Formats: sequence, structure tokens, C-alpha cells
Amino acid sequence: MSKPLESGARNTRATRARLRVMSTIQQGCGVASVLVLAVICPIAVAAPLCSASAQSGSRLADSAVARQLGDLEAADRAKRSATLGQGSSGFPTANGASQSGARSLDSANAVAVDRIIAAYGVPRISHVGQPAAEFAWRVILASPNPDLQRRVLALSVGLPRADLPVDELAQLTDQILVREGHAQRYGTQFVLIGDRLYTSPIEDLSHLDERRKLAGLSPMLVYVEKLRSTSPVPIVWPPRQESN
Amino acid sequence: MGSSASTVIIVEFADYQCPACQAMNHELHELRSRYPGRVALIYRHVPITSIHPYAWAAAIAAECAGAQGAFEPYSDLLFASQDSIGAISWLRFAREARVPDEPHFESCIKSRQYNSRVETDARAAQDLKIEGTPTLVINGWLFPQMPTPAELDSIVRSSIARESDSTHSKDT
Repeated sequence: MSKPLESGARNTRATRARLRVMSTIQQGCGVASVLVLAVICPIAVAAPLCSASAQSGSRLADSAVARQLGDLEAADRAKRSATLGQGSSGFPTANGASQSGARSLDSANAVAVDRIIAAYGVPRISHVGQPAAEFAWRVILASPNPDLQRRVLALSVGLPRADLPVDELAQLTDQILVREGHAQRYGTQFVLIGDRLYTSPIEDLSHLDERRKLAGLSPMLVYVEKLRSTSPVPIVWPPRQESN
Repeated sequence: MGSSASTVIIVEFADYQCPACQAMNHELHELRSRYPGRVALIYRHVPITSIHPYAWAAAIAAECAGAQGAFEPYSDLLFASQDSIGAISWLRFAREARVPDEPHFESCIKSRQYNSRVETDARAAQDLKIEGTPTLVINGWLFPQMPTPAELDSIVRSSIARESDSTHSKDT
């Protein structure tokens, strides 16, 4: 069974050409016993990003994406500072009304970044620059969409670590693990109990700093000290040994 | 397969019993030989067991060969002898692929110690909402449809050009 072509703007000459090629050499195996023949090009992304030449990942596409992310960050900062009293995406707010506004901004940002990722891939430092890449990753971290987060993590497999924001990558990994009920790997996730922050359970605690070093992160104690300098509540580290 | 410092990192989600994956495997080999040292390939398993009854076991066997440094020859052999999958033993494939320690290979398969790796790959395919095999992720970009050979070539060429430009601008 073939998946029908999307109509309208997606049925471009390039799309038809691609379909002709695919019909001759590419008969993929469907995961759900469905032959996939549709060419998907996200509606909300500018056409050049979806063309065959854009699939080559040209410098123009890089700069276009860097610009989109830069614009998004500027708009995000403006909205947060005007209405929420915040400086940047992904940080918690003090009151309920602000939290709701921040969540709505986080959602909108995530939709925009999701579109970029679908049309362009994971924003890498060497392609879009450090500030744009870090902003995109902060948006992903703050995203209320766990599917997006898992997708980005899956897409990042194999990419050079130095080309990804290491702190955000570690946080995303841990965030997903903790949400799914597993121990975290890098010690980036905390839980507030009473008036103190505790680390969520960490796998193989004795090798934590080795894992952090491999991931390009600072030693855990240095990381905790840095957090302590800005945290409004005390952070408990090292974790207490559980007594049985 | 290939260096992680390569210019182009291709993650291929594939199934050893999928004919299109066989063709893609050939295509990726061609690509890597045209651009030596510039293209790295990461193979991720998506065994479509509903239509390919031996695909999961083939994935485990390839991982067991990989544990002895023979993933690539074993994987290539599976694709090249796709019609024989299920008809001849995993061990015979291992001999042909020159997997060094056959008893260890056999015990690895029996233990299914790489089951979780295959599950992880299959889960990643679900996360990416992959609908068919082969599916490629090139430099962190998911291609929902298979790139043509010409497009693959173009992607590699432009990535190399971009890297050269970037190196040049850093130098100047």
C-alpha cells in the first residue's frame, strides 16, 4: 500500500522528479508493512530548505537557520523580559501567571525549532554557531514535547560531541532517563524535597566523573558549586548513602 | 565504520532482510570508497520482524561478530547473501566473514547479550517515527525519504566543501 502524496504546495516539480527516481530504484521496507513513497516537506518551512539542493546542507541553509534561530531567540528574550520578567528561555519563574506564560512561550519555541530540525537537522555549533545552537538546545530542553526531545537525542547519535552543546546534551539525556523512571547518567537532574535540592538517582555513582569527563563536562563537584552560586535553595551533594 | 572525525556521519536504520537496504548498503560502500576517510557509517538495527522473520537474529549475529571486530564484513556478507539468510547458519556466515573466535561467537548468539542494543536501535527508530527501511540520518538530519545516489554524492561533496571553507576562514 502506498501512502498518498500530500496535495497542494508539496506536489512540486522536484517532488514529482524525486518520486520518479524513487519508484525505479527505491522500494523501501515498511516498518508497519507499508511502502513509503510520500515525500514530506514541512509546510511551515521555507521552500529552499526543502529542495534537493538544500538537502546538500549548503552554507546558505546554515546561515538561514542561524538567522532563524537568532530571530527566535531575540523574540523570545523580548517577550520574556516584557511580560515575564525573565531573561532567557527555559528558566523557571516565580509565580503562577508567569509560569503559564513561560510554558506557552516554551511550547511555541519548541514548535519552531521542531520545524527547523525536520527541514535541516540538529543544529550544530560548526554549522549555525555556538549561540544559535545553544539556544536551540535550550528550547528543546524546555520543550513540553517529550517526542521532540527523544527525536533530537536519536538524531544526535554519532555527531561529534564537540559540535553539540555538551551541557544541554547531557541534561537532555538525563531528563529523558529520569522521566522514564531510570537513573540519570550525568547528574544534571535535581528534585526539590522540602527546602533542598537533591540529585535524582544516578547510575553507577562511583564512575560519575569519568562519564562526565567523557561527555566533555566538568567534575560533578565543580558543577554543583556553580549551581550553588545561583541556586535559591541549598543543594545536597554528595548524595547521602541510603541505609537499609 | 569509519572515523568519528569524518566530515559526513551517516546513520543508517536498516534491516538485513530488506532488499532496499541491500541496495543502499552497496550505494554507501560506493560512496565511502569515492570519499575515503570522509564518510563514517553507523548502522542501527530496525528488524521488521512482521515480514522478515530472521532479521532480529541477523542483527544479533552481526553485533556478535562486531564484538570481535568483524561487524563490517559480517554485515556486508548478510546483505550480499540476503537470500541465504535463514537457510544457512549464523556460524557459517561467521566463517566466511572471518570472525576469529567461533565458539565465542556462538555463545554470544545464544546468550542474546546484544538483544538490548537491537532494542535500543529499534526504539530510536520509533522515536524518529521511521516508517520504512532503509532510512538515513546524515549529519543529524533525518531524510524521511531515501536520497538518490546523486543526492548522496552531492551531500558529501558539499559537506567537504563546507568543511574546507570553514577551515580556510579559521586560518585567515
